[in-house]
Parts: sequence; structure tokens; C-alpha cells
Amino acid sequence: MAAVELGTGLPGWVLRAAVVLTGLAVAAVLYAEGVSLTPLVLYVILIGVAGAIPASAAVALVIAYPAVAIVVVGGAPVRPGVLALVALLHLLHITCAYAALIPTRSRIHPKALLTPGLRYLAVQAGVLALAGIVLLLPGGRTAEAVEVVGVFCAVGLVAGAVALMRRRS
Amino acid sequence: MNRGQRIREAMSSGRGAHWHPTDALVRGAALGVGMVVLGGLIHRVELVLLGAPLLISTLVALVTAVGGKPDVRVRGLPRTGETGAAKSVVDVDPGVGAEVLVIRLPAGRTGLGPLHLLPASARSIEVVLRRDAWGEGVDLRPDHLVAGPDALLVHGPVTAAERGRVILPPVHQLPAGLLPARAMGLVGVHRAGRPGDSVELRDIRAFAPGDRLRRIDWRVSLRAGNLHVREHHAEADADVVLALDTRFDVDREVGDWAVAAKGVTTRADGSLDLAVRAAASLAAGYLRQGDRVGLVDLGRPQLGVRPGVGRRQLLRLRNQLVVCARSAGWAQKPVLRAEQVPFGALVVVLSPFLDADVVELTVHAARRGNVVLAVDVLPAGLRPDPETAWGGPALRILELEHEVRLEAMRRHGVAVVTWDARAAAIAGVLRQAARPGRRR
Repeated sequence: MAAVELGTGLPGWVLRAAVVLTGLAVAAVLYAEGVSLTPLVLYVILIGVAGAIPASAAVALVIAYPAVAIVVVGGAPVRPGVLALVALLHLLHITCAYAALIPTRSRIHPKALLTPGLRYLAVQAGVLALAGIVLLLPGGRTAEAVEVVGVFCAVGLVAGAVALMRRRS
Repeated sequence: MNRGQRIREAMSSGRGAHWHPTDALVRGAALGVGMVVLGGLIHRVELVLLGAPLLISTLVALVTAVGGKPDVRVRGLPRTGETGAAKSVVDVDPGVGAEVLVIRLPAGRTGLGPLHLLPASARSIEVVLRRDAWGEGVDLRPDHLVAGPDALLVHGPVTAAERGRVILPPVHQLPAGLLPARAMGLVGVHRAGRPGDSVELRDIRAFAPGDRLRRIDWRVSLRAGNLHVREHHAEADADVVLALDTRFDVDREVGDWAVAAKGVTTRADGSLDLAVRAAASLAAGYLRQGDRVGLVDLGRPQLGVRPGVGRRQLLRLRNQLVVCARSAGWAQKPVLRAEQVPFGALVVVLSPFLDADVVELTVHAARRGNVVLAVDVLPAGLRPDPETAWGGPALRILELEHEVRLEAMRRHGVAVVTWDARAAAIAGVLRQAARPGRRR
């Protein structure tokens, strides 16, 4: 196989900048959804911490807070703000994962992010399809039996994820 | 697992040369499952939608088979080289299921270089190694980390073995000259003192029994009335001994002379750097014309190289100059024993001449009958120590003492030249010495 020439690439801080920009975009969506300014200021500080230390627990808070806030604010389950948050929080999760691998003084070769980018688009397409199904399905009260089945499914999901993680580690 | 391995495992937090989950995997699993389950339980679809991408991403990472032991190999890296750029290839076997590779590679500049985030499909990577300073050094240390989908599972980081090269001192083109007349071999390019078969006229004398008839100068013989013959010089090669004073390495800043230079073998444009460059250039010049060139380390006599000829000798000398510079440092007294210098050899002493011992040694070499060339490698434009008011006067005394030492050597018949960065001064002296009619 012919040797690949090592190009210049982009500076390593680009990924951290992407983390911060995505986080600010999330903050803007939350503001548009009606979240008050005080928690948003704290949220922006958390975004700064996540950008500086992408392998820290701050990232989990940065992703979890908008989900909680959007539930508290209330409204239609599928609306532009929610769909924007779905895309942005997923992007935040992935950019933080890659930013945690490299220091700021590294070089990023864009080809490396091609496969993750395509997978991101595929996952987003799947979630959008799920949102479309939710819109199409009729609303109403769920039967108690279905609720119980749902709880068992949720427990199974948690147990499956834990089992898979234990096998990997 | 023994106690040492357990301690190492605890210190590295489970990271290292094996596949292990990252914080992002834990985050994705916890938040993904948490949001989806909580959304289902409290009947909030938006929570399910927000958690779904994280959950899917985590499941993809967990389902994808990753494994194997990533391997990084370097090929095409010579042990020695010249200053400037050189190419090498790093072969990567990322293992099964790897998606991205983080590897430390030089990016056309000096040093080990930054980490590069590359696709794992890049199996062979061409790297440009650059070193602008001669000496030993590390060119490549391909520390690496391999990550699976979405960087949720990684192998590493692994600190790789260092790969270094010896960069040989550069060679400046110098004119030949200033060599002693001495017959050593059958052929050579220098005029020897004894009669021989060259085309250069040595003398015209009366015919003696044993003289060849073709050497008779008929014009002189007719004028003188008896037979006279033309006598020519012999041609010979010569021995050159480069005596390197490695006891001192000083630069322009006098205040830093007592402070060790950090991270470098020699100070850039310091006296040892200049001396090594001068020695390499002189060796190349003399070897090119077929002379035997040897090396003596005045600080450590055991590091010398016997005189020899040819391109291999030049490589040997340049390598040994690097070894001498690496071992440079304080030695009690310079040593140049008579048996280290072949009879009649040209001795080139390369030193900043900062003490009387090396001057004494140089003069003794001249008194033994060798032609001695003293090359002063003390950097020009010394700057006084700014931290003390006595910096200026101390520098002045130092310069005066240095000048006295050079003058003392001149008075003992030692040719003294100053080596500058472009070798212009010594080139001028050698050119002057090589001028026809001038004999030493």
C-alpha cells in the first residue's frame, strides 16, 4: 500500500471550539424555549468547563440540563426546539468524545471525522424517523398492561446496557 | 496479577495498551438509557427523543467488534544523516474495528511533533523529519492511541520507543593548503622536501654518478662547461591531526558560561559547535586531496581516531566528532602526547584558547617539529554579564588575556587563524598559504 503523505490538518483546538459553539447554540435554543437567564449563565459556565476539559463530568451536565429544562418548560413533544436540541446534544456528545482524545496542540485531519460524521447523520435520520412516527401515532391514555410492559422493557434496556458495558471493560 | 501490576493498573486508571471504555461511553450509556427510560416512565416523548441518539451511538459502539493489538512500526530511518529534511514511513496496524488513530508524528519541523488525529484506514504514513542542528537526537516517537466508533472504546495511549539519528556535522568547502612537506607514500599532491619526480623544479646542480641522462639541462651545461642536471621535488601526501579542545563550550553571553545549556548537546554557535564544524570542514578538504586525517580529543584522548584516508574516514571522523561533543565537559588538563601525532604531521588545534594549558600544548607540538595551525573558535562579539557591574571589565580582561595567548603562539611559529561561522577567515589563510612560491 502506498504511503499517505501527512498533511498539515487543522489545529486541535478546533474541536474544543466546536464543543463551545455547539453548547452556545444549545443555550440559545433553551433561551428561545423560555428558560430564564440565571440558570443559562451557569449553563454557559459549564459549557466553558466542558470545552476546556472534554473528558470531565461537566459534559454530562451540559447534556442532561437541557433535557430536564425542556421537560420542565413543557409544550408539544415534537417541535422545532426539541428537534434542534436532539441534533445539538448528540453533536455535543460526539465532539466531546473526540476532543477528549487529543490535546489542543494536536492536528486534526478532517478525513478522520468523515466516518463519525456519516454515522451521526444516519443516527439523526433514524431519530427524525422516530419523531415522525410519534407525530403520526394517535395520542391518548395508555392501558395499564402496556405501561407494565413498558416498565419491563425499560428495566431490560438498563440491564442489557450494563451487561454489555461489563463485557467490554 | 501481581502487586506491581495492580499498582500500575491503579495509577493508570485502567488506561494503557488494551481496549477499554472511555468517559464518553459511560456518559452515553447513562444519559441515553436514563433519558429513554425516564421519558417512557413519565410519558415525555421529548426525553426519549433526546436520549435516543446517545443510546443508539453507545449501542453501535458496544455491538461493533473491536480487538487485536494495534502495532506501529517505523521503516526507512537511517542511523546517521545530514542536516535538513529526511523521509521515513510509519506503518500502522490499527487492529479490528478501529476507526480513528491518534499518533505523534513530526510535521516537517524539528522535534517529536504534535499528535495527529487520522483515519485508521491510513496504514502507511510518510513523515518528513527535520533536524537543523548536528548531533544526536530523537526524531520520532510514534506514541499512539486507537479508537473505535465515536471514540467510545480506545486502545492506549501507548508510549512508543524513541527512534533517533546522528546528524553529522556539516562540511564547508575549503581550499587546500598549509600542509607540511613530507614524503610518506608513493603519490600525493604536496611538494615534499626531498628530490623526486614531480614537475616542480627544486635545484640545478652538477652531474653526479647515478644521475639519469634525461635530467641533464643542456643549456646550463653548455654555458657552464660541465654537465648539470635539473632536480625536481618529490610529491607526497601528508598527515593531518585535528586536535579538538572539548573542555570548553562557550557562547557570546559571558554570563552564561558557567550555566549548563538545557536540552542541547552543544550551544548553538558556541565554541564547540564552531570547532566541530571547522574540524569536519578541514577533514573533508584534506581527505578530498588524498591526505590522511586523524582526530584527537584533547579532553579525552581515548576518543581519538587514527589517521586514515577516504570517504569512510570522513564518515568515521564526523561520527566521532559527535561522540566527542556528547562527552564534552570539564577535563583537568588537555593532553596531546607525542605518539598521538605522526612525525611531520600538520597539527590543527581547534580551541577557544581560554587557558594557558592549551597554549602550552600547542607550542610544545610546534617545538616537536610539527607544523601547527591554531584555529581560534572563541565566538566573536562577546557580551558582558549584565547582572554585575564588573561584567564589562571582566570581559575586557578576558579578551586581553586571550589576545596575549594568541600572540604568544604566533611568536612560537604557530599560525593562528580565527574561525568564523562562514569559514571565510580560514579560507583566506589557506588560500594565501597555498600560493605558489610560499613554503612553510
